[in-house]
Amino acid sequence: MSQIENKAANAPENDPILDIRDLTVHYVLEDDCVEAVNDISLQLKKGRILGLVGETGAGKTSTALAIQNLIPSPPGVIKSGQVLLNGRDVLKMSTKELEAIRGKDVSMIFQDPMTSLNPVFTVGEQIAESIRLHENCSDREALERAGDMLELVRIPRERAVEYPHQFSGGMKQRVAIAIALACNPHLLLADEPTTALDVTIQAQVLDMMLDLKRQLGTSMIFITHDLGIVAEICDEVAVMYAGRIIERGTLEEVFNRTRHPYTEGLFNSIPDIGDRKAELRPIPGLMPDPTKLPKGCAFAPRCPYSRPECIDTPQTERMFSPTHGVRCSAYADPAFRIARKEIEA
Amino acid sequence: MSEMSVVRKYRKRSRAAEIWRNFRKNKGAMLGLFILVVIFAIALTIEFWLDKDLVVGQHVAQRLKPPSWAHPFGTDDKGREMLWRVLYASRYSIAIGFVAVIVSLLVGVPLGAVAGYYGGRTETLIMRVADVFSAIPSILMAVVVVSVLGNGTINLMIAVGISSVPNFVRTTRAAVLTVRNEEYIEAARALGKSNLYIIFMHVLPNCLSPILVLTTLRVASAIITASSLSFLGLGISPPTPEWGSLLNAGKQFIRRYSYLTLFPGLAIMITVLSFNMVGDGLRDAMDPKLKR
Amino acid sequence: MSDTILQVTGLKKYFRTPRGLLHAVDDISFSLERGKTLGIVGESGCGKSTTGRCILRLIEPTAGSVIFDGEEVMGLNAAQLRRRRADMQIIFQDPFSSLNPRYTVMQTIAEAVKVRGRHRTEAEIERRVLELMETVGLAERLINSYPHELDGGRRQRIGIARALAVEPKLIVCDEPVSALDVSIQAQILNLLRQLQKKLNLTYIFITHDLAVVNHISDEIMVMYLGQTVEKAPTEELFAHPIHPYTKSLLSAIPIPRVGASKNRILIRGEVSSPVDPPNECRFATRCDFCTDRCTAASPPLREVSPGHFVACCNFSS
Repeated sequence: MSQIENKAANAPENDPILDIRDLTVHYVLEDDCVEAVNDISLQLKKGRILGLVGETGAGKTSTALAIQNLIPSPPGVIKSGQVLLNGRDVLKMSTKELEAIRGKDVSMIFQDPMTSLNPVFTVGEQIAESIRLHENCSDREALERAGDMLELVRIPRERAVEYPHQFSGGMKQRVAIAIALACNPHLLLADEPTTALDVTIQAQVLDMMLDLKRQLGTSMIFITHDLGIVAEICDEVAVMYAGRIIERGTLEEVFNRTRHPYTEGLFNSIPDIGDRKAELRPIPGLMPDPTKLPKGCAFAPRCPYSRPECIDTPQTERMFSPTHGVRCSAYADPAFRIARKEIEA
Repeated sequence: MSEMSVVRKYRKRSRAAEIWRNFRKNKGAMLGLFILVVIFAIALTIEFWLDKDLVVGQHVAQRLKPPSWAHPFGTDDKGREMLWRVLYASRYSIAIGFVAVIVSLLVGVPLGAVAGYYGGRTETLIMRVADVFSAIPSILMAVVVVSVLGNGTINLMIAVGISSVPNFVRTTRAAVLTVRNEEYIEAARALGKSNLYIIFMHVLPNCLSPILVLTTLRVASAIITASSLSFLGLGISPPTPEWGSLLNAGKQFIRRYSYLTLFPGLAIMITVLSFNMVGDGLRDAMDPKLKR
Repeated sequence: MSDTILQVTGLKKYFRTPRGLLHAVDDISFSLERGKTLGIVGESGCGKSTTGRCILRLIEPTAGSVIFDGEEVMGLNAAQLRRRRADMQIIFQDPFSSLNPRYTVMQTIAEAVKVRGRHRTEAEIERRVLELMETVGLAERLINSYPHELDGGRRQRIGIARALAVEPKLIVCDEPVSALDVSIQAQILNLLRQLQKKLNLTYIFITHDLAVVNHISDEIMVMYLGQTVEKAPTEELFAHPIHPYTKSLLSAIPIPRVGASKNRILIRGEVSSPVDPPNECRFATRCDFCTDRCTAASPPLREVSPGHFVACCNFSS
């Protein structure tokens, strides 16, 4: 247990673990080009959890894949940008260098625990495999550490000899987390890890992940569409729409001092436990076609505040605080406000 | 309120057109299709433009001449032009291949659909009977059928057809099993539709893809089976040419006059290969998930 | 004067498995008034979907009585049942697999329209289909589209249009919005509410999402391992949950507010097996308040306050 150190404790304070600069990823298909990720930038410091929020097709998974340089290469193309992981650009690394960092410096867990584990190996083996790949240790040591990881995710270590089908959905996801954290990576990417789980199991898993963050100091990017989960475990939030980050900031800034109309729309769509009679106010319309994105704001056709020029005006990021950035040209008018009121902390 | 039907107003490209579009991109499949079209054209029309005497008559003066400009495929031991013999034989092979497969389709698909949809004892009964039939080598089965029914083209078709039935039963059942549990089948039941309606209107249309592919591939193997039977002396009797019987007739001359077996053999091979390529191309074209 | 449209008594569904008898639905009873919505809530494996399908006899129940609109559904033969089907419909969870991939929007909805036989000519059927498409918010130009060309929200609308086409009295909604994005969920939920008011429909709304069920149901039934553990009018359930499972379910919902109360009641352990369950409270192995009484017998459902039922040994009326 003592081998697993707290990364945050030994870290130089201000260096971001992850620095994405102007990343653009497109999927070039036969007739069209899907603009999945468009010019995004974000930074994440050690020991922080970022919630990457957006609906289907917003570009969240593509971003996560780009961070590990796992975008399938035909048809995906990295049009521009850099992804600096601990100062090194992942997009420029050779295959060998990438294999060295995947699993060791950055790892990922996926949405469906049923299919992310190999059914013919025991869970202990699968955790140990990751350790053996990246660290110089004997087989026995690797299995020993696999047992440590299982305990870390609150599974009795004796179960290391069991196969995935003997575990329930929630436990499989915990095993997946154990595999991902086995080499104590700096950054963990979690792509909707609790969406497929029951809500009570989800609560257990989230609680465990927060605990792990405290113990190991791992930074995390938590991809989700559930704002409740974001409120529960994230420190920072970035909201994506049509491949762009349209609002980002600390949890408090994005939730209590919301600025972007889309973020406001997301909040309005969620049934409020407190007020059951209130009519839900969904965002009208649908996500835009990612092969035909406009020059300006992609949200304009659905935005209740849109003006005719919004759809053609390139959206630059406006900072409302050193950490709170919003892409909405309506704010060129200093008097502009959205309906959602500020919430006092 | 316009008179024109809204459905007609928003008419779209049909699924068949899309499949054809995908198929066209596969060069191998298109080549196979081209060859098949040529063979078909020959098979369908040769009766009308070829003098039958050239095929089945006797021209002893020209016997056993090797391939040359005058005799493109050479001549056989009765002096007949091999070119015409081989081309004429395509009629029988194609006809047998098709009719046999249609027989298998008409028997095998309903059986497979019933087995897959109803399950239980019905399924077990049908599948075990199919297993028994498929355990018998197809040639042997065909031999038995022909011995019982006698020689002749029709009986050959039936014999070859029966040997393909288990394949259709199995493939149809497998396809039906995957479709049967889909929710839209449950939705159709929730609308109060009868089982028969559901099988024909919902289940089978969604099983078309594997069945169609199997059909093209089985035509190919039906041709080989028919040729094998003729080679063994069953089915088509001389002087009517059939590729297999041509092989049989040529085998005694195989040392010195190998061209007698070469060309019928090539004909079988090219036809079967073309069917296979078309079948593979169809399978790929019908798969919506395949990256093109 | 209540107008009970559905009366379910002692509904059971057991499956025979190699390991034993699986109690998927174990003695469920409730009654439902016309025009109201009953929410059935629970996590995976609790039997809520099976219950919904048993009521419609899409799955044949092992035992129990279902009286729909005055008629005992269990007693109907196959032909009578098929005729009755038009009165009770279902909307499925997965909008993709519940539509025939080879049928266009027109074909799918038209098939349902033809069931009542009220519209005979092609023109009449087309007009009715367009009417339904408008009701559910599908643009006219999509009439010849295939399911794979449309997104989840639109596919679900097709499913709703199909269910409405037969003019049913009762609709079982089996997790109809779980597979959809948040903003689309809201659109569909609003639509379902509007339709209920307009057509006086009765819903059974099956879901695992308590926030959604709070929004749409008049009464909620919480299920665990095939049994009802608590049943109450919606406001009452949220204000005064009694059963320990209900309490932890409520506390598990993530609230989209910074600093929201984290009085999480975490349940320990995993769901026990529904195969040959022992005669005790099925929640006993995970409950913090488990006593000897809980393992002695399975607690019956008791009314602890008007309309509020709980199955828990620690609470008697």
